[in-house]
Amino acid sequence: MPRALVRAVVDTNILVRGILRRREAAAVRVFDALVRGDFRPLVSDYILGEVRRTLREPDVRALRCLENNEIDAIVGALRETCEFVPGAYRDLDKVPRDLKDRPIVAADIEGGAHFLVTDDRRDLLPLKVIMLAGYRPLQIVTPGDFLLRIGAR
Amino acid sequence: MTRGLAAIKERIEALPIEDKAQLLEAVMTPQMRLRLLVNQVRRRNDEASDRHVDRVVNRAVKRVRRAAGTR
Repeated sequence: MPRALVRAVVDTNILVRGILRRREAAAVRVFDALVRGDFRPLVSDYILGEVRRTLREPDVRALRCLENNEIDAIVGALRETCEFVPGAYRDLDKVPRDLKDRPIVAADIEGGAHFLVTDDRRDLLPLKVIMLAGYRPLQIVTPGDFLLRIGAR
Repeated sequence: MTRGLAAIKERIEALPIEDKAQLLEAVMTPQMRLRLLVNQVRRRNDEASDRHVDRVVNRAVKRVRRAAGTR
């Protein structure tokens, strides 16, 4: 019987670095695992919007001479590759952290994610696990830890 | 290769380049498309070191979040 795939949300800066970086790094390996289908990636409009806006920032765009149509094609293919969740979950009062993290956590909870992959050491990683009644416990891990958990190449 | 497959291969090879591109687009999965796009992007502009990419991206994400009023 096939093993059920791990479900995970990958934070915006890991996604963007995975798209742009060249050499082996945890962010690149997470992105490549996403493309290979080593885990079930979840995205929301909020996350895709952040990825698009970040790639369109002039200094980011200049890194790889990105064109608008190319950015749109990448974001479109990313949306089709991932499972889409609305990310509208609002009852996050039990997550005592910065407002900026809430839409990312919302997508995790709504999508029944096992993991949130991030390198946000200030706000998200210290939480380690978010447990909300009626939802799957959400583990917050670094890209390196996540790769170990899914046994990615 | 069976005769049927060989005939299909021959017909594809005979297509004009635009039709070949259209055919490729139609049979590519989103994963294949994403891999192709990202591989093209990663290969471009050797001057940007990976460390520099990290710094620029992290700063940009913070800016985007500030502008969206979520930070």
